[in-house]
Amino acid sequence: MIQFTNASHKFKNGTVGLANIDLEIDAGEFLYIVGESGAGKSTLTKLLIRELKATSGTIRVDNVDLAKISKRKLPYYRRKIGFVFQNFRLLSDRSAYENVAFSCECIGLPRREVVKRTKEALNFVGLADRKNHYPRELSGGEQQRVAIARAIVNKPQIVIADEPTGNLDPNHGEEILRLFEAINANGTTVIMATHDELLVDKHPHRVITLSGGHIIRDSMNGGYYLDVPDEN
Amino acid sequence: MFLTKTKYSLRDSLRQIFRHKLLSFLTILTIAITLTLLSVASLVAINSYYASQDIEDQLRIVAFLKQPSDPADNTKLLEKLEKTDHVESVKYVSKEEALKSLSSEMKNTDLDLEETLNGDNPLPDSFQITVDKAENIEGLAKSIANEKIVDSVNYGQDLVDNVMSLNRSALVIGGVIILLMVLATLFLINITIQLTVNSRKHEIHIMKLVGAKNSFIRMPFFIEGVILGALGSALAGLFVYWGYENIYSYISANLPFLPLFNNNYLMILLLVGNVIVGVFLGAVGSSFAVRKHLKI
Repeated sequence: MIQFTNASHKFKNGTVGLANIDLEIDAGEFLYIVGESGAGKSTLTKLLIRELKATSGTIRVDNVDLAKISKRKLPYYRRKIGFVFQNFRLLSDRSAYENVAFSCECIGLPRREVVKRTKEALNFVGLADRKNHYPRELSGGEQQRVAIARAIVNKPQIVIADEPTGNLDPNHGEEILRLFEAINANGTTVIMATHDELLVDKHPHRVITLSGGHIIRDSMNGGYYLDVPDEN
Repeated sequence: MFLTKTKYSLRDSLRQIFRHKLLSFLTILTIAITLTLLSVASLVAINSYYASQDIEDQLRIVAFLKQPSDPADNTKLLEKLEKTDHVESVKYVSKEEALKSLSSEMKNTDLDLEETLNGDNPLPDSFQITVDKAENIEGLAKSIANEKIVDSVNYGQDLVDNVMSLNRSALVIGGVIILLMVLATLFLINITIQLTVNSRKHEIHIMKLVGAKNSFIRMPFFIEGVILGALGSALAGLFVYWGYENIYSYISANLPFLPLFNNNYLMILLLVGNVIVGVFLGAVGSSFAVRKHLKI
Protein backbone atom coordinates (compact mmCIF):
# COMPACT_ATOMS: atom_id res chain seq x y z
CA MET A 1 0.00 0.00 0.00
CA ILE A 2 2.79 2.46 0.94
CA GLN A 3 6.21 2.19 -0.71
CA PHE A 4 9.26 4.32 -0.07
CA THR A 5 11.89 3.63 -2.74
CA ASN A 6 15.30 5.15 -2.04
CA ALA A 7 13.40 8.19 -0.76
CA SER A 8 15.28 11.13 0.75
CA HIS A 9 14.36 14.56 1.96
CA LYS A 10 16.90 17.33 2.34
CA PHE A 11 15.76 20.65 3.85
CA LYS A 12 16.65 23.96 2.23
CA ASN A 13 19.29 24.62 4.91
CA GLY A 14 21.05 21.38 3.94
CA THR A 15 19.86 19.27 6.90
CA VAL A 16 19.06 15.72 5.88
CA GLY A 17 15.59 14.74 7.12
CA LEU A 18 15.50 11.29 5.59
CA ALA A 19 18.18 9.50 3.58
CA ASN A 20 17.68 6.68 1.07
CA ILE A 21 14.69 5.09 2.75
CA ASP A 22 13.32 1.79 1.40
CA LEU A 23 10.16 0.80 3.21
CA GLU A 24 6.95 -1.07 2.44
CA ILE A 25 3.85 -0.85 4.59
CA ASP A 26 0.91 -3.14 3.85
CA ALA A 27 -2.73 -2.17 4.10
CA GLY A 28 -4.07 -2.81 7.59
CA GLU A 29 -0.64 -2.78 9.29
CA PHE A 30 0.11 -1.15 12.64
CA LEU A 31 3.53 0.45 12.54
CA TYR A 32 5.54 2.32 15.13
CA ILE A 33 8.26 4.69 14.03
CA VAL A 34 10.78 5.26 16.82
CA GLY A 35 14.02 7.15 17.10
CA GLU A 36 15.78 9.98 18.89
CA SER A 37 14.65 13.56 18.38
CA GLY A 38 15.74 14.68 14.93
CA ALA A 39 15.97 11.08 13.66
CA GLY A 40 13.44 11.80 10.89
CA LYS A 41 10.15 10.55 12.37
CA SER A 42 8.21 13.76 11.74
CA THR A 43 9.80 14.17 8.31
CA LEU A 44 8.52 10.70 7.38
CA THR A 45 4.97 11.50 8.49
CA LYS A 46 5.04 14.86 6.74
CA LEU A 47 6.21 13.18 3.53
CA LEU A 48 3.25 10.82 3.75
CA ILE A 49 0.72 13.62 4.05
CA ARG A 50 2.58 15.52 1.31
CA GLU A 51 3.34 18.45 3.57
CA LEU A 52 6.88 17.82 2.33
CA LYS A 53 8.04 16.31 -0.95
CA ALA A 54 10.83 13.74 -1.36
CA THR A 55 13.87 15.50 -2.81
CA SER A 56 14.96 12.20 -4.38
CA GLY A 57 13.53 8.72 -4.76
CA THR A 58 9.81 7.98 -4.81
CA ILE A 59 7.00 7.51 -2.35
CA ARG A 60 3.90 5.71 -3.59
CA VAL A 61 0.58 5.27 -1.85
CA ASP A 62 -1.90 2.97 -3.58
CA ASN A 63 0.47 3.04 -6.56
CA VAL A 64 0.23 6.83 -6.83
CA ASP A 65 3.53 8.71 -6.87
CA LEU A 66 3.09 11.45 -4.27
CA ALA A 67 5.48 13.80 -6.08
CA LYS A 68 3.22 13.72 -9.12
CA ILE A 69 -0.06 14.55 -7.40
CA SER A 70 -1.27 17.86 -8.79
CA LYS A 71 -2.32 20.73 -6.51
CA ARG A 72 -5.90 20.14 -7.60
CA LYS A 73 -5.83 16.45 -6.64
CA LEU A 74 -3.89 16.84 -3.38
CA PRO A 75 -7.01 17.49 -1.23
CA TYR A 76 -8.55 14.23 -2.51
CA TYR A 77 -5.38 12.31 -1.60
CA ARG A 78 -5.36 13.82 1.88
CA ARG A 79 -8.93 12.65 2.47
CA LYS A 80 -7.51 9.08 2.55
CA ILE A 81 -5.44 10.04 5.59
CA GLY A 82 -6.34 11.01 9.14
CA PHE A 83 -3.68 12.93 11.04
CA VAL A 84 -3.20 13.24 14.81
CA PHE A 85 -0.78 15.78 16.31
CA GLN A 86 1.14 15.60 19.59
CA ASN A 87 -0.40 18.85 20.82
CA PHE A 88 -3.94 17.96 19.65
CA ARG A 89 -4.33 21.15 17.55
CA LEU A 90 -8.01 21.52 18.38
CA LEU A 91 -9.72 24.79 17.52
CA SER A 92 -10.14 26.47 20.88
CA ASP A 93 -13.23 28.45 19.87
CA ARG A 94 -15.21 25.35 18.89
CA SER A 95 -16.78 22.58 20.95
CA ALA A 96 -15.68 18.94 20.71
CA TYR A 97 -18.60 18.29 18.35
CA GLU A 98 -17.73 21.30 16.17
CA ASN A 99 -14.06 20.30 16.02
CA VAL A 100 -14.96 16.85 14.70
CA ALA A 101 -17.73 18.10 12.39
CA PHE A 102 -15.25 20.62 10.98
CA SER A 103 -13.41 17.79 9.15
CA CYS A 104 -16.61 16.74 7.38
CA GLU A 105 -17.67 20.30 6.60
CA CYS A 106 -14.26 20.97 5.05
CA ILE A 107 -14.85 18.32 2.41
CA GLY A 108 -18.38 19.53 1.73
CA LEU A 109 -20.44 16.66 3.16
CA PRO A 110 -24.17 17.34 3.49
CA ARG A 111 -25.42 18.41 6.90
CA ARG A 112 -27.19 15.11 7.70
CA GLU A 113 -24.05 13.12 6.91
CA VAL A 114 -21.93 15.50 9.01
CA VAL A 115 -24.20 14.96 12.02
CA LYS A 116 -24.28 11.17 11.58
CA ARG A 117 -20.53 10.74 11.14
CA THR A 118 -19.63 13.15 13.93
CA LYS A 119 -21.86 11.30 16.40
CA GLU A 120 -20.37 7.95 15.35
CA ALA A 121 -16.80 9.23 15.73
CA LEU A 122 -17.47 10.77 19.15
CA ASN A 123 -19.14 7.54 20.26
CA PHE A 124 -16.16 5.57 19.03
CA VAL A 125 -13.72 7.59 21.17
CA GLY A 126 -16.16 7.53 24.12
CA LEU A 127 -16.87 11.25 24.26
CA ALA A 128 -20.52 11.43 23.20
CA ASP A 129 -21.42 12.95 26.55
CA ARG A 130 -18.70 15.63 26.29
CA LYS A 131 -19.57 16.81 22.79
CA ASN A 132 -20.55 20.32 23.82
CA HIS A 133 -17.43 20.93 25.88
CA TYR A 134 -14.74 23.27 24.62
CA PRO A 135 -11.09 22.09 24.53
CA ARG A 136 -10.23 24.13 27.65
CA GLU A 137 -12.92 22.16 29.52
CA LEU A 138 -11.42 18.77 28.56
CA SER A 139 -8.42 16.89 29.97
CA GLY A 140 -5.36 16.23 27.78
CA GLY A 141 -6.49 12.66 27.15
CA GLU A 142 -9.99 13.79 26.21
CA GLN A 143 -8.61 16.45 23.89
CA GLN A 144 -6.50 13.82 22.14
CA ARG A 145 -9.57 11.59 21.80
CA VAL A 146 -11.42 14.47 20.13
CA ALA A 147 -8.44 14.87 17.80
CA ILE A 148 -8.60 11.14 16.99
CA ALA A 149 -12.35 11.41 16.32
CA ARG A 150 -11.57 14.29 13.96
CA ALA A 151 -8.93 12.15 12.21
CA ILE A 152 -11.23 9.15 11.65
CA VAL A 153 -14.54 10.90 10.97
CA ASN A 154 -13.96 10.86 7.20
CA LYS A 155 -13.17 7.10 7.31
CA PRO A 156 -9.56 7.33 6.11
CA GLN A 157 -7.54 4.34 4.87
CA ILE A 158 -4.49 5.45 6.83
CA VAL A 159 -4.19 7.15 10.23
CA ILE A 160 -0.89 8.85 10.97
CA ALA A 161 -0.10 10.03 14.47
CA ASP A 162 2.93 12.13 15.37
CA GLU A 163 3.79 11.52 19.06
CA PRO A 164 0.10 11.26 20.04
CA THR A 165 0.91 10.29 23.64
CA GLY A 166 3.80 12.74 24.04
CA ASN A 167 1.79 15.22 26.12
CA LEU A 168 -0.13 12.62 28.15
CA ASP A 169 0.46 10.69 31.38
CA PRO A 170 0.94 6.88 31.06
CA ASN A 171 -2.71 6.02 31.81
CA HIS A 172 -4.07 8.37 29.17
CA GLY A 173 -1.32 7.21 26.81
CA GLU A 174 -2.53 3.63 27.24
CA GLU A 175 -6.14 4.69 26.47
CA ILE A 176 -5.05 6.45 23.32
CA LEU A 177 -3.02 3.48 22.15
CA ARG A 178 -6.01 1.16 22.64
CA LEU A 179 -8.06 3.50 20.50
CA PHE A 180 -5.46 3.29 17.72
CA GLU A 181 -5.52 -0.50 18.01
CA ALA A 182 -9.32 -0.46 17.71
CA ILE A 183 -9.03 1.75 14.61
CA ASN A 184 -6.47 -0.70 13.21
CA ALA A 185 -8.75 -3.64 14.01
CA ASN A 186 -11.31 -2.11 11.63
CA GLY A 187 -8.78 -2.47 8.80
CA THR A 188 -7.24 1.01 8.86
CA THR A 189 -3.48 1.26 8.50
CA VAL A 190 -1.99 3.01 11.55
CA ILE A 191 1.41 4.68 11.50
CA MET A 192 2.51 6.12 14.81
CA ALA A 193 5.70 8.06 15.47
CA THR A 194 6.50 7.78 19.17
CA HIS A 195 9.05 8.10 21.96
CA ASP A 196 6.94 6.08 24.35
CA GLU A 197 9.09 3.06 25.16
CA LEU A 198 6.64 1.53 27.65
CA LEU A 199 3.73 1.56 25.22
CA VAL A 200 5.77 0.15 22.34
CA ASP A 201 7.00 -2.70 24.53
CA LYS A 202 3.58 -3.38 26.03
CA HIS A 203 1.67 -3.36 22.72
CA PRO A 204 3.92 -5.12 20.24
CA HIS A 205 3.57 -4.22 16.57
CA ARG A 206 6.03 -3.69 13.75
CA VAL A 207 8.69 -1.12 14.74
CA ILE A 208 10.87 0.96 12.42
CA THR A 209 13.84 2.61 14.13
CA LEU A 210 15.22 5.75 12.51
CA SER A 211 18.60 7.34 13.21
CA GLY A 212 20.07 10.30 11.36
CA GLY A 213 17.41 9.92 8.67
CA HIS A 214 18.22 6.24 8.02
CA ILE A 215 16.23 3.13 8.93
CA ILE A 216 18.55 1.20 11.22
CA ARG A 217 16.06 -1.44 12.32
CA ASP A 218 12.81 -2.90 11.05
CA SER A 219 11.36 -5.38 13.54
CA MET A 220 8.15 -7.28 12.92
CA ASN A 221 8.15 -8.49 16.52
CA GLY A 222 8.06 -5.13 18.21
CA GLY A 223 10.24 -3.85 21.04
CA TYR A 224 11.60 -0.37 21.54
CA TYR A 225 15.29 -0.27 20.54
CA LEU A 226 17.12 2.79 19.33
CA ASP A 227 20.51 1.37 18.43
CA VAL A 228 20.17 -2.37 17.87
CA PRO A 229 20.64 -3.72 14.34
CA ASP A 230 17.73 -5.33 12.62
CA GLU A 231 17.27 -8.84 14.04
CA ASN A 232 15.05 -10.15 11.22
CA MET B 1 -22.70 20.30 -2.58
CA PHE B 2 -22.07 23.86 -3.83
CA LEU B 3 -24.97 25.11 -1.72
CA THR B 4 -23.69 23.21 1.33
CA LYS B 5 -20.25 24.75 0.93
CA THR B 6 -21.58 28.25 0.35
CA LYS B 7 -23.85 28.01 3.38
CA TYR B 8 -20.94 26.74 5.45
CA SER B 9 -18.68 29.58 4.23
CA LEU B 10 -21.28 32.24 4.97
CA ARG B 11 -22.03 30.80 8.40
CA ASP B 12 -18.32 30.50 9.17
CA SER B 13 -17.61 34.09 8.05
CA LEU B 14 -20.35 35.50 10.27
CA ARG B 15 -19.25 33.30 13.16
CA GLN B 16 -15.66 34.54 12.81
CA ILE B 17 -16.75 38.18 12.63
CA PHE B 18 -18.79 37.86 15.82
CA ARG B 19 -16.30 35.66 17.67
CA HIS B 20 -13.43 38.07 17.00
CA LYS B 21 -15.43 41.22 17.59
CA LEU B 22 -12.47 43.44 18.48
CA LEU B 23 -10.41 42.42 15.45
CA SER B 24 -13.43 42.78 13.17
CA PHE B 25 -14.16 46.22 14.63
CA LEU B 26 -10.52 47.28 14.16
CA THR B 27 -10.59 46.11 10.54
CA ILE B 28 -13.81 48.03 9.85
CA LEU B 29 -12.34 51.10 11.55
CA THR B 30 -9.07 50.90 9.57
CA ILE B 31 -10.96 50.60 6.30
CA ALA B 32 -13.29 53.46 7.32
CA ILE B 33 -10.43 55.80 8.33
CA THR B 34 -8.23 55.11 5.31
CA LEU B 35 -11.11 55.39 2.85
CA THR B 36 -12.28 58.61 4.52
CA LEU B 37 -8.80 60.08 4.03
CA LEU B 38 -8.81 58.84 0.44
CA SER B 39 -12.20 60.44 -0.18
CA VAL B 40 -11.08 63.73 1.39
CA ALA B 41 -7.99 63.75 -0.87
CA SER B 42 -10.24 63.07 -3.87
CA LEU B 43 -12.61 65.90 -2.91
CA VAL B 44 -9.72 68.34 -2.46
CA ALA B 45 -8.41 67.40 -5.92
CA ILE B 46 -11.88 67.66 -7.49
CA ASN B 47 -12.44 71.08 -5.90
CA SER B 48 -9.06 72.47 -6.97
CA TYR B 49 -9.76 71.32 -10.49
CA TYR B 50 -13.30 72.70 -10.33
CA ALA B 51 -12.03 76.08 -9.06
CA SER B 52 -9.56 76.37 -11.90
CA GLN B 53 -12.25 75.35 -14.41
CA ASP B 54 -14.55 77.99 -12.97
CA ILE B 55 -11.98 80.70 -13.54
CA GLU B 56 -11.18 79.28 -16.96
CA ASP B 57 -14.86 79.59 -17.95
CA GLN B 58 -14.68 83.31 -17.27
CA LEU B 59 -11.66 83.91 -19.48
CA ARG B 60 -12.22 85.75 -22.76
CA ILE B 61 -10.43 87.76 -25.45
CA VAL B 62 -11.54 91.31 -26.17
CA ALA B 63 -10.56 92.46 -29.68
CA PHE B 64 -10.79 96.26 -30.10
CA LEU B 65 -11.50 97.38 -33.66
CA LYS B 66 -9.85 100.26 -35.52
CA GLN B 67 -12.13 103.30 -35.64
CA PRO B 68 -14.20 104.11 -37.48
CA SER B 69 -15.12 100.51 -38.27
CA ASP B 70 -16.94 99.32 -41.37
CA PRO B 71 -20.06 97.21 -40.57
CA ALA B 72 -19.44 94.97 -43.59
CA ASP B 73 -15.86 94.21 -42.46
CA ASN B 74 -17.12 93.61 -38.93
CA THR B 75 -19.68 91.06 -40.12
CA LYS B 76 -17.01 89.27 -42.18
CA LEU B 77 -14.68 89.01 -39.18
CA LEU B 78 -17.55 87.87 -36.94
CA GLU B 79 -18.39 85.05 -39.34
CA LYS B 80 -14.71 84.11 -39.67
CA LEU B 81 -14.24 84.02 -35.88
CA GLU B 82 -17.33 81.88 -35.37
CA LYS B 83 -15.81 79.24 -37.66
CA THR B 84 -12.37 79.36 -35.97
CA ASP B 85 -11.23 76.35 -33.88
CA HIS B 86 -11.36 76.71 -30.06
CA VAL B 87 -13.78 79.66 -30.28
CA GLU B 88 -16.91 78.96 -28.27
CA SER B 89 -18.81 82.21 -28.85
CA VAL B 90 -18.31 85.65 -30.35
CA LYS B 91 -20.24 88.75 -29.38
CA TYR B 92 -20.07 92.08 -31.17
CA VAL B 93 -20.14 95.06 -28.79
CA SER B 94 -20.69 98.43 -30.46
CA LYS B 95 -19.04 101.55 -29.02
CA GLU B 96 -22.49 102.77 -27.88
CA GLU B 97 -23.14 99.50 -25.99
CA ALA B 98 -19.65 99.70 -24.49
CA LEU B 99 -20.31 103.22 -23.21
CA LYS B 100 -23.69 102.25 -21.80
CA SER B 101 -22.15 99.30 -20.01
CA LEU B 102 -19.32 101.42 -18.63
CA SER B 103 -21.75 104.13 -17.49
CA SER B 104 -23.89 101.63 -15.65
CA GLU B 105 -20.80 100.17 -13.95
CA MET B 106 -19.83 103.69 -12.80
CA LYS B 107 -23.27 104.90 -11.76
CA ASN B 108 -22.48 104.39 -8.08
CA THR B 109 -19.49 106.71 -8.30
CA ASP B 110 -19.56 110.52 -8.12
CA LEU B 111 -18.53 110.76 -11.77
CA ASP B 112 -21.24 111.26 -14.42
CA LEU B 113 -19.49 109.74 -17.41
CA GLU B 114 -21.82 111.00 -20.19
CA GLU B 115 -21.73 114.55 -18.83
CA THR B 116 -17.95 114.46 -18.53
CA LEU B 117 -17.55 113.23 -22.11
CA ASN B 118 -19.94 115.82 -23.32
CA GLY B 119 -21.43 113.76 -26.11
CA ASP B 120 -18.11 112.23 -27.22
CA ASN B 121 -17.53 108.46 -27.16
CA PRO B 122 -13.83 107.46 -27.15
CA LEU B 123 -14.57 103.78 -26.78
CA PRO B 124 -14.02 101.52 -29.82
CA ASP B 125 -16.29 98.82 -31.23
CA SER B 126 -15.11 95.36 -30.09
CA PHE B 127 -15.60 91.60 -30.18
CA GLN B 128 -15.84 89.56 -26.98
CA ILE B 129 -14.61 86.02 -27.73
CA THR B 130 -14.90 83.09 -25.31
CA VAL B 131 -12.44 80.23 -25.80
CA ASP B 132 -12.78 76.51 -24.95
CA LYS B 133 -9.57 76.16 -22.88
CA ALA B 134 -7.17 78.55 -21.21
CA GLU B 135 -4.21 77.00 -23.02
CA ASN B 136 -5.66 78.06 -26.43
CA ILE B 137 -6.13 81.73 -25.55
CA GLU B 138 -2.66 83.03 -26.30
CA GLY B 139 -2.39 81.54 -29.80
CA LEU B 140 -5.88 82.66 -30.73
CA ALA B 141 -5.32 86.19 -29.38
CA LYS B 142 -2.17 86.56 -31.48
CA SER B 143 -3.90 85.44 -34.67
CA ILE B 144 -6.85 87.81 -34.02
CA ALA B 145 -4.41 90.69 -33.40
CA ASN B 146 -3.07 90.18 -36.92
CA GLU B 147 -6.48 90.86 -38.45
CA LYS B 148 -6.49 94.03 -40.55
CA ILE B 149 -9.44 95.71 -38.80
CA VAL B 150 -8.29 94.81 -35.28
CA ASP B 151 -6.47 97.52 -33.37
CA SER B 152 -5.47 95.58 -30.26
CA VAL B 153 -6.43 92.54 -28.16
CA ASN B 154 -6.70 92.08 -24.42
CA TYR B 155 -6.89 88.67 -22.76
CA GLY B 156 -5.37 88.89 -19.29
CA GLN B 157 -2.10 87.10 -19.94
CA ASP B 158 -1.16 86.79 -16.24
CA LEU B 159 -4.53 85.35 -15.25
CA VAL B 160 -4.37 82.79 -18.07
CA ASP B 161 -0.90 81.68 -16.99
CA ASN B 162 -2.02 81.37 -13.36
CA VAL B 163 -5.11 79.38 -14.26
CA MET B 164 -3.12 77.00 -16.43
CA SER B 165 -0.57 76.49 -13.70
CA LEU B 166 -3.33 75.94 -11.09
CA ASN B 167 -4.97 73.43 -13.42
CA ARG B 168 -1.76 71.46 -13.86
CA SER B 169 -0.94 71.58 -10.13
CA ALA B 170 -4.43 70.41 -9.16
CA LEU B 171 -4.11 67.43 -11.46
CA VAL B 172 -0.54 66.48 -10.54
CA ILE B 173 -0.72 67.07 -6.75
CA GLY B 174 -4.20 65.56 -6.54
CA GLY B 175 -3.11 62.54 -8.55
CA VAL B 176 0.01 61.99 -6.43
CA ILE B 177 -1.90 62.37 -3.14
CA ILE B 178 -4.61 59.96 -4.28
CA LEU B 179 -2.04 57.43 -5.45
CA LEU B 180 -0.20 57.63 -2.11
CA MET B 181 -3.46 57.30 -0.23
CA VAL B 182 -4.45 54.25 -2.29
CA LEU B 183 -1.10 52.62 -1.47
CA ALA B 184 -1.42 53.49 2.23
CA THR B 185 -4.98 52.15 2.22
CA LEU B 186 -3.89 48.89 0.61
CA PHE B 187 -1.01 48.54 3.07
CA LEU B 188 -3.08 49.23 6.19
CA ILE B 189 -5.99 47.04 5.14
CA ASN B 190 -3.64 44.23 4.20
CA ILE B 191 -1.92 44.38 7.61
CA THR B 192 -5.24 44.33 9.46
CA ILE B 193 -6.61 41.43 7.43
CA GLN B 194 -3.34 39.55 7.85
CA LEU B 195 -3.80 39.84 11.61
CA THR B 196 -7.21 38.20 11.26
CA VAL B 197 -5.89 35.49 8.99
CA ASN B 198 -2.80 34.81 11.13
CA SER B 199 -4.99 34.28 14.15
CA ARG B 200 -6.54 31.38 12.23
CA LYS B 201 -3.46 29.80 10.68
CA HIS B 202 -3.88 26.57 12.73
CA GLU B 203 -7.38 26.29 11.39
CA ILE B 204 -6.15 26.72 7.82
CA HIS B 205 -3.43 24.10 8.43
CA ILE B 206 -6.00 21.60 9.73
CA MET B 207 -8.29 22.35 6.80
CA LYS B 208 -5.43 21.59 4.42
CA LEU B 209 -4.62 18.32 6.18
CA VAL B 210 -8.18 17.02 6.20
CA GLY B 211 -8.37 17.60 2.46
CA ALA B 212 -10.23 20.88 2.06
CA LYS B 213 -9.76 22.45 -1.35
CA ASN B 214 -8.05 25.85 -1.50
CA SER B 215 -11.18 27.44 -2.88
CA PHE B 216 -13.14 26.14 0.12
CA ILE B 217 -10.53 27.49 2.56
CA ARG B 218 -10.47 30.88 0.83
CA MET B 219 -14.21 31.32 0.64
CA PRO B 220 -15.01 32.22 4.30
CA PHE B 221 -12.05 34.64 4.39
CA PHE B 222 -13.17 36.13 1.10
CA ILE B 223 -16.73 36.62 2.38
CA GLU B 224 -15.40 38.02 5.66
CA GLY B 225 -13.22 40.47 3.71
CA VAL B 226 -16.18 41.53 1.58
CA ILE B 227 -18.42 42.07 4.63
CA LEU B 228 -15.79 44.00 6.61
CA GLY B 229 -14.80 45.99 3.50
CA ALA B 230 -18.43 46.88 2.76
CA LEU B 231 -19.14 47.95 6.34
CA GLY B 232 -15.93 50.01 6.66
CA SER B 233 -16.36 51.72 3.31
CA ALA B 234 -20.06 52.44 3.84
CA LEU B 235 -19.13 54.05 7.14
CA ALA B 236 -16.45 56.13 5.39
CA GLY B 237 -18.85 57.05 2.58
CA LEU B 238 -21.60 58.20 4.95
CA PHE B 239 -19.12 60.16 7.04
CA VAL B 240 -17.66 61.92 3.99
CA TYR B 241 -21.14 62.58 2.56
CA TRP B 242 -22.39 64.06 5.82
CA GLY B 243 -19.16 66.02 6.43
CA TYR B 244 -19.01 67.48 2.93
CA GLU B 245 -22.67 68.50 2.95
CA ASN B 246 -22.05 70.39 6.20
CA ILE B 247 -18.86 72.03 4.96
CA TYR B 248 -20.64 73.01 1.75
CA SER B 249 -23.54 74.60 3.65
CA TYR B 250 -21.15 76.51 5.89
CA ILE B 251 -18.99 77.80 3.04
CA SER B 252 -21.98 78.73 0.87
CA ALA B 253 -23.38 80.78 3.74
CA ASN B 254 -20.17 82.37 5.03
CA LEU B 255 -17.64 82.37 2.18
CA PRO B 256 -19.80 82.57 -0.98
CA PHE B 257 -16.88 83.70 -3.17
CA LEU B 258 -15.21 80.28 -2.72
CA PRO B 259 -16.39 78.08 -5.56
CA LEU B 260 -17.10 74.68 -3.92
CA PHE B 261 -18.18 71.79 -6.02
CA ASN B 262 -21.55 70.37 -5.14
CA ASN B 263 -23.15 67.77 -7.30
CA ASN B 264 -25.44 65.13 -5.84
CA TYR B 265 -24.63 62.73 -8.62
CA LEU B 266 -20.92 62.99 -7.86
CA MET B 267 -21.49 62.57 -4.13
CA ILE B 268 -23.53 59.41 -4.69
CA LEU B 269 -20.83 58.21 -7.07
CA LEU B 270 -18.26 58.85 -4.33
CA LEU B 271 -20.37 56.92 -1.83
CA VAL B 272 -20.89 53.96 -4.17
CA GLY B 273 -17.25 54.17 -5.31
CA ASN B 274 -16.17 53.98 -1.68
CA VAL B 275 -18.17 50.81 -1.12
CA ILE B 276 -16.85 49.24 -4.32
CA VAL B 277 -13.26 50.09 -3.37
CA GLY B 278 -13.82 48.82 0.20
CA VAL B 279 -15.36 45.54 -0.94
CA PHE B 280 -12.61 45.08 -3.51
CA LEU B 281 -9.84 45.83 -1.00
CA GLY B 282 -11.42 43.55 1.62
CA ALA B 283 -11.84 40.68 -0.81
CA VAL B 284 -8.42 41.01 -2.45
CA GLY B 285 -6.67 41.74 0.87
CA SER B 286 -8.08 38.63 2.54
CA SER B 287 -7.40 36.43 -0.49
CA PHE B 288 -3.76 37.58 -0.54
CA ALA B 289 -3.39 37.15 3.21
CA VAL B 290 -4.70 33.56 3.05
CA ARG B 291 -2.57 32.66 0.07
CA LYS B 292 0.71 32.24 1.97
CA HIS B 293 -0.93 29.74 4.33
CA LEU B 294 -2.21 27.61 1.46
CA LYS B 295 1.20 26.59 0.21
CA ILE B 296 1.50 23.31 2.13
